[in-house]
Amino acid sequence: MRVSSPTTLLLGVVLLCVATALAGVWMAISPPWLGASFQARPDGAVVIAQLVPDGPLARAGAKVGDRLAGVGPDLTAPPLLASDTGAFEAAATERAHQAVMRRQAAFADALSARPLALRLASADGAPRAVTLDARIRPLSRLGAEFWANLAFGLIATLIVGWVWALRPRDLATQLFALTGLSMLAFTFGWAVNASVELVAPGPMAAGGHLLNMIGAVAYGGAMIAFFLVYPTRVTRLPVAWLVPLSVLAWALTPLLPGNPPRESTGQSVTTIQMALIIVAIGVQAFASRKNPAAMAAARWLGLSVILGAGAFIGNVALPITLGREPFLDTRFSLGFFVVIYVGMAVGLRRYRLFELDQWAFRILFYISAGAALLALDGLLITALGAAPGAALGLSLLVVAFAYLPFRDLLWRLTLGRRTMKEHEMFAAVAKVALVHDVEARAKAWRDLLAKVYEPLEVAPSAAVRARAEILEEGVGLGLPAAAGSTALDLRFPFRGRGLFGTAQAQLADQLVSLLAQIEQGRDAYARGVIEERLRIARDLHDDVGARLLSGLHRQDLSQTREAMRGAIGDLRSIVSGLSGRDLPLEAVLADLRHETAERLDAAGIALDWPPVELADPDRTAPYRVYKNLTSAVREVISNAIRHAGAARITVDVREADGCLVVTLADDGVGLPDTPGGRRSGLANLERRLGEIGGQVEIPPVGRGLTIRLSAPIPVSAAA
Amino acid sequence: MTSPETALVLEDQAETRAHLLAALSEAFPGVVARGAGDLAEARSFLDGGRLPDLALVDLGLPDGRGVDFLRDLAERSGGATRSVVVTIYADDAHLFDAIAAGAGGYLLKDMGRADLVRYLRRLEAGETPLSPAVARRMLDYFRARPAPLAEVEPEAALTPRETEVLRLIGRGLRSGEAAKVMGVTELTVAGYVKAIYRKLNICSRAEAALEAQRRGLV
Repeated sequence: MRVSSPTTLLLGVVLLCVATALAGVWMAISPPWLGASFQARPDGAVVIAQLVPDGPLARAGAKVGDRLAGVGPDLTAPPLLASDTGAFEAAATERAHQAVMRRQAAFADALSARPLALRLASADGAPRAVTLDARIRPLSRLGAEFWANLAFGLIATLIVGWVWALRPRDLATQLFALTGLSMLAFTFGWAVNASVELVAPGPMAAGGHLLNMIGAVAYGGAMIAFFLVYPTRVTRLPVAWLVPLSVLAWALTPLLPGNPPRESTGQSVTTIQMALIIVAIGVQAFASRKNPAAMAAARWLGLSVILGAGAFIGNVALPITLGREPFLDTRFSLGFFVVIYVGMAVGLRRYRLFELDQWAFRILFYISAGAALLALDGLLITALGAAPGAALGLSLLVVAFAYLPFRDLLWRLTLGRRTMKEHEMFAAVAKVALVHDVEARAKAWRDLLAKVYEPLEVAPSAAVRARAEILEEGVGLGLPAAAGSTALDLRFPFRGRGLFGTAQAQLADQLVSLLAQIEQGRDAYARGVIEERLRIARDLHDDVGARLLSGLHRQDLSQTREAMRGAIGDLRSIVSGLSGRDLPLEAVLADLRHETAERLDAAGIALDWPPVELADPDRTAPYRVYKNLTSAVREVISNAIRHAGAARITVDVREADGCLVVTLADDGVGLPDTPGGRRSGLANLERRLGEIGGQVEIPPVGRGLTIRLSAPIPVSAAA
Repeated sequence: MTSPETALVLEDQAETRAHLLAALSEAFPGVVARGAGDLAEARSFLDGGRLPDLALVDLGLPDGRGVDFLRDLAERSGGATRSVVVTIYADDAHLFDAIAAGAGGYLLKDMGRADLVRYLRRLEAGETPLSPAVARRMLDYFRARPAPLAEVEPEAALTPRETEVLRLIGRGLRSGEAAKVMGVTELTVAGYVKAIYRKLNICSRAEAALEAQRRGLV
């Protein structure tokens, strides 16, 4: 696995979160526990406001309303005042603030003594001393405020970490990640402070405060910088420096005249930053106005931030300024910042923020599947007390039958863009490709695109493209020319609710190439049809026409009939597509034998023609060869029927030296001495066989007539 | 088959129709033969409840395909009517369609009167003419039959003897010659040929359509 692969980076983010959570918990449970919450009264007394049942104070016999009079067993020591715990103090200068911090730390030191003796005073003022022991705070006593604020930071960090892991080198995602990290810092500080019962030990109090304030200041700086670079980079200035600069400015505030404390400056710094964030969002919206994709991103991100941060300010800062009670419990008001990140996570898919598409969610789902497996396994082992092996099996089953289908459902709901199945695509494209009329085909193509992408705008384009291109960051998709249509630009896909991504471009390329293939096939088919028509026309003219013409000019009716039959025979072979084609020689000879047998049978002449078996049964013969050979045999048989007066005809077919030799012998009257009759037929035979490089021989025989026809049978291309 | 008493000639060309009717009378003296010029006329003849013993059917008709009429006839008569295709086409596609539709014979229109009469008489004797090209084509057809169908209808596969008959006829031998080679009587060969025709005929209508379609693509 590559170190910088999204999964590794995301794993690193998860580890950071786990470490942070462990550190927070450790910090919260390590101070010695009192098991109560306290209230500072206006007269400076610190009283017990609530007691945790079974807590150290409750066990020592303390009651709600008891005053905390002092630390240590000495009942004569001066009473403890709220100012010792840091309550009521709004330090005017950093020096005063530091003094308060020192007093708190000293007090916290005293509280951490073991065993701890505390002086309490009941409502009637009678002092008594109690001793506390067993002061380990259980996790369940940490309180909702601690857990919630810790969770807020972790959620934000996981979301920014996910985005950053996918594009770690991008300035925008780096800044975005910084906002999340800053948020983790200030929620962490808040959570740790929230866990404090009375006072925090020195380092912890200082650390919690520092983290909270640095986080808040850095958050503002990062957010301003972020909106200056994303979606459109507004300025070429190195905006990332805004973060350390604002933190540095805040850190140096004690040097200002009058030494204002960092804490109060921190509040005003973040207020100013919030105003600047809104300005930056406005600048961004203006810069993105001509780019719908950027506009959508800016609008969505800006809205998330203004709503989230605005709700925080509206619920906490504003009512306090106006002297009213907050609307919602302020202890959980940092949750409004989580709204920002959840909004961004939703926007990732919807507006393709950071140009992360479906695969962003795919990675998330894979990691979730792994986490679910581990969590279920752990849960089943602990909760059911099942044996580890059985628990693993059971959890696998649950993941397979419940989680995975659920994940699939979630997948379809979140990313659910119906993709075409291959056969659907083929059918749809074939339908387009086979539309005959060019204009109608172009229209069918546009209809198909409209069905697949639902674009709000389809415009012809002059661009010459070899493949589909994503235009204007996903607003448009440029298609190459296809289906008799020019190149097309589709814009605002999915009725304007989405953008074009790589998947859509790939689908378009598939559609176009499939279309081209089918069109190619269709064109080849059309060419074939034309060629076939030409062949039929040529054959009709050359063969049928010539025969009919010669029949027309014959005087003898029976000769005319013969010509007609010849014409019909030609017609037959033309229609069956056999004329002009190479045929298997064996099939040609078989048909010829059959035809000869039928004719001789009708004429009452016996035939002796053993069926032929050629050396190569698949051997084919060219049209001209078998056509002339067949005609020659027909003619010899015709002559024999008409003139020979034979009772039997013997036919012998054999192959010899690349020649086919057909010997036809009859037992008739033989050749007449006078010219004409069968002699004129001989000239015809010689012409036919001459055409194909063969010859006619008439070997002398005792009785009847023997004619030997031989023709070379070249190996044809189809053989 | 005994000598047909009634016959129908479905042929649109008047001269050819007359030629066929005359050949029928010559082959089967006393036969009552009736001519029809198109499918509609022939169907109305059937609708009259009269099923002829023998029908000569042309394939290309002005109002439809002769093959459809062959199917009608085969269904209505349950195979009692013997139908023979009379055409000028002798190619495999035409032949196969006709046989699949129930044709029991196949004659070419351009035959001389004497040849025609001779063939018709052979039909009477129960012989089914089979040309080598058709025999070769049938062999291919049965070889190419998909196995599952052959399992469902085991009778649709050819026996070795039937295959032998087709092979010999495919080599150009006539039925009589094939009988001699196989050492059986001509009647036995005629029986094999009829069995082969029957096996082709079990091809349902759908299968015939499928076959025609398949061939149309070739």
